[in-house]
Amino acid sequence: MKPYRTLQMLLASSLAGVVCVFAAANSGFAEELSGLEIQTRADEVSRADTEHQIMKMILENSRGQQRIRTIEAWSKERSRDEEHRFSRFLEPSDVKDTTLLTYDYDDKDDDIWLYLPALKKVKRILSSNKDDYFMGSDFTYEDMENRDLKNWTYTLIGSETVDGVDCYVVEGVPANEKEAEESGYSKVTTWVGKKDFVDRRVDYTDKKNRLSKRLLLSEIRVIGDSGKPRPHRLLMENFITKHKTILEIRDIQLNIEVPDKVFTQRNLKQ
Amino acid sequence: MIPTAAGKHLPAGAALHAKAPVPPPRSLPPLRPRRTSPASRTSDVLHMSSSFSILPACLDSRIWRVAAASLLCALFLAPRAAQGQVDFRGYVEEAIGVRVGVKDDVIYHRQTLNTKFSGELRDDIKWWVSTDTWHDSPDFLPDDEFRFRVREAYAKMEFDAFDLRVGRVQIAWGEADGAIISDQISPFDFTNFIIPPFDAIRLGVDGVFLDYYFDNGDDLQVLWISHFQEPDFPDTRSPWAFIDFDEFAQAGISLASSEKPADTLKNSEGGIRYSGHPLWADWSIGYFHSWDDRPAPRILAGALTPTYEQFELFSANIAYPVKDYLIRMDSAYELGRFLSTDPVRAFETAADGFVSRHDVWKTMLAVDLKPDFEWWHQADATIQYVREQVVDPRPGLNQAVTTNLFSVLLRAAYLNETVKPWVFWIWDARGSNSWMQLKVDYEPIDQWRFSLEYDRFTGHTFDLDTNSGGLFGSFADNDMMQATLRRSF
Repeated sequence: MKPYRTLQMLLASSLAGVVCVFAAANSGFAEELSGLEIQTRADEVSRADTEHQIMKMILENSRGQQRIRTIEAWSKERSRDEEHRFSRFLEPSDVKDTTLLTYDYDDKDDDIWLYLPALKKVKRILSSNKDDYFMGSDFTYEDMENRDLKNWTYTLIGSETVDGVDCYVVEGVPANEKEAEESGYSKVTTWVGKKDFVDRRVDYTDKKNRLSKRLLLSEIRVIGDSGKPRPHRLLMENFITKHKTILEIRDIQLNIEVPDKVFTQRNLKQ
Repeated sequence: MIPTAAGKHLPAGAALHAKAPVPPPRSLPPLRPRRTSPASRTSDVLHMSSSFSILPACLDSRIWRVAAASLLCALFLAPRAAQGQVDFRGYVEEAIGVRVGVKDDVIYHRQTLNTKFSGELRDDIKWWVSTDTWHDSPDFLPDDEFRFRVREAYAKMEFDAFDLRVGRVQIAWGEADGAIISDQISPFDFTNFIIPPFDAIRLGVDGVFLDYYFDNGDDLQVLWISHFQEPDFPDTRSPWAFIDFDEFAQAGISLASSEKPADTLKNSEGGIRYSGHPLWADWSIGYFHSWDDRPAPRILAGALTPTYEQFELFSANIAYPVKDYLIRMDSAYELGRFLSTDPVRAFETAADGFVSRHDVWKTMLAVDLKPDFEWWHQADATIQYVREQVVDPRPGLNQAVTTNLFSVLLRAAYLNETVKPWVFWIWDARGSNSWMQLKVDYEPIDQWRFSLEYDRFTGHTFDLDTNSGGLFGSFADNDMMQATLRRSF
């Protein structure tokens, strides 16, 4: 089971369990960068020692009705394989102050604690399944995982522009049976900016070979002194359910001082 | 034959608190104190008739003073909330439940206003006030009732290594979900059985609460509760009453006021709990010296007289993940509880009002899992086993010596979590005692929730001769459909 993720990592990883490794790069692109090199650089761009941000998540159904969740989140990378995250819901009012503490590991299941103000206690909870959706959104937990270099095979299939930005187009498929079984997708295609290595678009093909979802990332701006670009608007459209999720990022800060006490059970109850 | 305190509705066999997973502990006659002496009533629930006829008599009570102070606070805080200095939220709710099958009356009809105010006096001093105001008009009440309750009202001071809360606070111990094993610090509102979720029925206790945090993440909680706070029990006319009062009346036994401990320092309650949070598990051990929320059902001078007694609670809990499962254990040893006895089979207990003192050991073992089925979206499942054992039982106890309950809870979420079905089923290994709850929440837009629920009880009241039946079975006439509409703000 893959680790549970807050939406914070959605940004931190520039999105999705879409792994853009050009393992067997098309010969036409081989002289530019190998898939692994692209992936490595994209991964580097997406990482930060610490992050803090406020995210507004807008859930919109086919009739245009919207539901809104606002989340404040902190993260701290303890090592290449371990990250701590803390998320607090700011709205709507019925879930306000619900908090989540996640110790995310690459090599094992996450440790997760949830505090529900109404219940007055901290609960350890299980990691979600990869294909479960996060808080009613169109993002699955798989979508929000870090890039997976080991369990997917990537092929560079072309080059296209997205919003005027020249991008590599990379097709990823599960590399083994276990991953194929656990993943909600049979194929994930990613458009990665050639200059900044930030994802611009991701197409998800489900196990019935339907183009099920499309993610568009926009308003990409460099954050403060970090020099790292981040998308400030993400639109995930579900073609099966006709449902959309829009993520608007506010107040994002990278590589700032985040005390360890943020990631404690005491802070869950504050 | 003289009816015992394990009368028709006495959940003697189900001495467990099982709820959505497990209900309230029962070997007690959860009697509502008579209202002949309102000023001495212990409930913090303001209980007014719609005509407010008892209002003057209650004005001197501590409850009313708390209520008045809270109302003043609310009036004081409202303008500040409007200015953004105070966080203000809550909900309004309309709920109606109708018995189906044997009866077809309105068993539950309530309009609720819940408010929560919170803010900061300084960076390190925060405060919180939560209240409920509601109106009840089920068929079994001759008059409508208005009620007000201060659920919580406390100030919290934060220091480097510890937090200190002073005031009315809700405390939840233990790893059980819905089952009351270690979770016996805050009393509960059982007026509608445990049909509402626990967060809606857990009450506050008044005192001082210290949470000390060690550098390694462990914490120590020390609590002092200034006075005993009894649960809110069902009205004697309610179909949720745990005792068939008519049966007692027919036997010439009247119902006396409960004997509640005086509000003295000597009668205050105290507890301590140490919790560890290593990565492999969360665990805790606790001790609580308290008054038993379940009054001893003494029969004295021809009157059933619920009397509150002190007891001690030792608890131990652990929750640890094993691969794709979360294992939870919650255990409580209740030292010195008073249990009801049969007047004929245990006549020697007559001198003490037909009760007998025993220790009771409760244990819960639960497994949480997340099945991965395409059709079962966002699946959640919990399988729970609860065992209650009377230690060294005497013959003639009016409850099962051993009770084994099994429960299954299945949840899912569809259509982007706008539709959330819930199936809960709990049954007693002894038979003739089960409860099934089917529920679906529909939340098409923010702040609005519509719930439809069906509750079915099967079995019969605990039968000493056959050692069958129990709490759920005693409510076999209470199968009900309930609809709830909530608007949060």
